[in-house]
Amino acid sequence: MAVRPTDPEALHLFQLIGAPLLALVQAEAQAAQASADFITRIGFDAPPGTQPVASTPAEPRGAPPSANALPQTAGSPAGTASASPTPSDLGHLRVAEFRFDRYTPDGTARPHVARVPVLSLVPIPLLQIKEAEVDFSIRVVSRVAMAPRHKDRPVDTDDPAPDFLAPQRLELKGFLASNGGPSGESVNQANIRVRVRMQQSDLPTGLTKLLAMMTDGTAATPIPADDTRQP
Amino acid sequence: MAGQLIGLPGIKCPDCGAPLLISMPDLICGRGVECACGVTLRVDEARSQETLKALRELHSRLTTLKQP
Repeated sequence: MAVRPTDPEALHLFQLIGAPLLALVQAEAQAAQASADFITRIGFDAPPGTQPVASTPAEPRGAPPSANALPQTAGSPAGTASASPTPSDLGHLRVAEFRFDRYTPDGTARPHVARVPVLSLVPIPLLQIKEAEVDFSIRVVSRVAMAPRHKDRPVDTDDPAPDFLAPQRLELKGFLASNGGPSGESVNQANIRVRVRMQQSDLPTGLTKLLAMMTDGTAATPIPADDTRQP
Repeated sequence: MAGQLIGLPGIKCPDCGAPLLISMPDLICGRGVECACGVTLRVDEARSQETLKALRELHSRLTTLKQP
């Protein structure tokens, strides 16, 4: 449908500029949600009888879990079961167990086990927008005079009113305009060209502390002699 | 602290504390990781069965995503 300059659907300039910026912020929020989902599903065992608590970006919170959710294990290290887990629990920290030998002074090998959190074994995907370039044209169709904020105050050059340096403020309204075709010909559709560069983001402070605790907390314990399970 | 692993996938040697990098294929295939101090760590597949299952699933999905 063709638009006319008098069309009341014309948008404020700040809306036209703000919409793609809002989309960038929302895109980063979705990326962060995906990272949180990864941490939840890979790093933790869901409590027995519960489903994954995290949602994919395409699913609203509270929606039934998708069929492609990674399997949640019911097993957990002995002695770590919670008394009454709720569906909102992250679950138990998922660990991998490594066996190795320590040697006594007489050269006898003593098997040990080290329990390592999975989150410290896999790279955690954390992405952020490094640079974004938004390119579009706006066809301005009208202007709207903004009312002064202090109508009742006398106009006085000594008056430090907020409108003092910009006494006749305007807001512009318009539409997205076509940029022209590749060879300069006129096209009917307006386009926004967005170029986004992503980068691996720095680890958030909280996650850094969590990983540091996990790494430092890797304790090695001797394996009891009656444990016959072999690696 | 003998080494820093924050942000890198791996473990700290339980004996000397050196950072040991380990790749996902090495992890899920049960290959050991050896430290310069002589300690060799191997995944206990029996005790880490469920964890390895989840990691294999993750690796499979990541591999699928990388395919054109």
